[in-house]
Amino acid sequence: MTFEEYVLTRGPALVRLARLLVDDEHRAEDLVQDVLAKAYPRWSRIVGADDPDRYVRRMLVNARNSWWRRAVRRHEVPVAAVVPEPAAESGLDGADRQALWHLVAALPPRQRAALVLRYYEDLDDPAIAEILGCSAVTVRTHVMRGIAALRANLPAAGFPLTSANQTRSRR
Amino acid sequence: MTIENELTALLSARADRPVDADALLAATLAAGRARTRRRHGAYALSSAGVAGVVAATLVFNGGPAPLADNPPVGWDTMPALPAVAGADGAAARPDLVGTDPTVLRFGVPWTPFPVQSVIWSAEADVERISIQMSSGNSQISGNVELRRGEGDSGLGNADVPDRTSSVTVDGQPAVLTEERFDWGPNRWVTWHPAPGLTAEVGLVASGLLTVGEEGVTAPPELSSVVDVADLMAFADAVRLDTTTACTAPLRIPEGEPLRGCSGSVDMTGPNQRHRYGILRIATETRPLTVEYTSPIPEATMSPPHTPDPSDFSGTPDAAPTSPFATPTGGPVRSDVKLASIARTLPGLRVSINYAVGDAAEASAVLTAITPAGDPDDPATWPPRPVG
Repeated sequence: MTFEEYVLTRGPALVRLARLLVDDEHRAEDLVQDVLAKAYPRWSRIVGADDPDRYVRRMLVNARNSWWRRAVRRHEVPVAAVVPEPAAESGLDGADRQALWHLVAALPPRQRAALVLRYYEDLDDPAIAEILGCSAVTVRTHVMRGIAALRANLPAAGFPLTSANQTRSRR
Repeated sequence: MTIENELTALLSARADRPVDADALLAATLAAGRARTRRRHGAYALSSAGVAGVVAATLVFNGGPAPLADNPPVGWDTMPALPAVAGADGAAARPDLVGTDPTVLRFGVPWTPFPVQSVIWSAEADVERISIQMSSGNSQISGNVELRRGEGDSGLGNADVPDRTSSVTVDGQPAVLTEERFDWGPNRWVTWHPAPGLTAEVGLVASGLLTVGEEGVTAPPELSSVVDVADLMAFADAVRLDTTTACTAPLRIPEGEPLRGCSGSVDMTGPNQRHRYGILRIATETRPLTVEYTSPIPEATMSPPHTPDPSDFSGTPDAAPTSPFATPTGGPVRSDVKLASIARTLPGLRVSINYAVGDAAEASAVLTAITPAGDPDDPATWPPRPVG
């Protein structure tokens, strides 16, 4: 597969993944573009890997983490101000979904990445472990703690915004 | 629903929106090549001596310094694209916009900044030319679109308030829309050349040409690179009394209905031009696309397996499954398995992506493709790539 073919076939999926790793549509695209630009000069080596797509996704997750550290020093992005949220089949109303997203966004980066890779990409523990560069046991720990953190902020009736905002303010 | 199910639904809702794969590819190629040039230049400069570099860098005190190894490359203004002789532009025949994937019913003869790449596309109801330009260290994205209907385009961001004002484009009333972001404005102008037809021109500073060594672009401060006068001059230059061919440096055999067309050229270095395009000759449910690219240098981008050009019916390349981007970036049906075969022509690599099961048809199309024009000069490409 050439670099061009890879970007056309898998690029959209990378952007969708990035949308869940960062909170800003434009920065998600920037992040993917930069990761792919980094992959471009060494594509012949990357494409020779067992699973080039997994390799690039690992680059994406790592880049997100390093980008995030720099971005936090620069300025905060208002989460709610950027990404429109289309309707989804869910038991939650719009405000509750937004509150749940705030909780996800407030998770530590690796917990958040683990949840995204598990519940959006539908990957198993070994695959997530390869991307995150850790053991499958650590992946299970990240997922368990992430879910626990979300659940801890859930009152029985739903996801009140106050709880989400308090969690975000600790970031 | 369990928290896990809610989470899955939430993540899907936030992520699953369309992505313009063509634009992503163009931006990625430009950034990747700039990175490669910098790397090669850095090696050369390193050999020549670090002291001189340090001295030169110190001259630029503050702000992103232009790198000595990364001189601006591109065209001084819009590269010439062929028109379609005998075809009417949107001014005379607005009803024909978006009806023929080989013809864009407008032309963009001028740009306010030097051009690095041009992407054109024609699909049902929408014709578009996107241009990457540069000014100093800033990348500037221009977008010209003609579409049927009078609805909004995708240039706006739903959660950012729009500020609108009345302007005039080529003597016609138009609306200038502006959205403010931390790193600069997003502006575009919209008008209706005829009932049921919308013209839209956007011009925005979209990034930096030089990025940090970690490869992650910081949100740049781009607020002053493009002003309203630049946008209006760009919009005024758009010609609706002419056409632009959705051209390609090849011909595909007559008989296959062409459903969509896109193409691009970009300047990757001094006198180094790259071309890439897609001719889509089937529907999304049974895709058959012809892709052409510049030859792929073995040292940098060789694919793991290049099929023997004489063996079109042989083992296909590794088959991507889904989603496969159409020329407009939308995925084909996710259950369609794809395969590809490729062939090298003078100055071009041509590949066919097809649904598994359509190998014979794909082989026939690939065999019949002939090169046309100078691959380096789109002005010499045939106005109609079919037949």
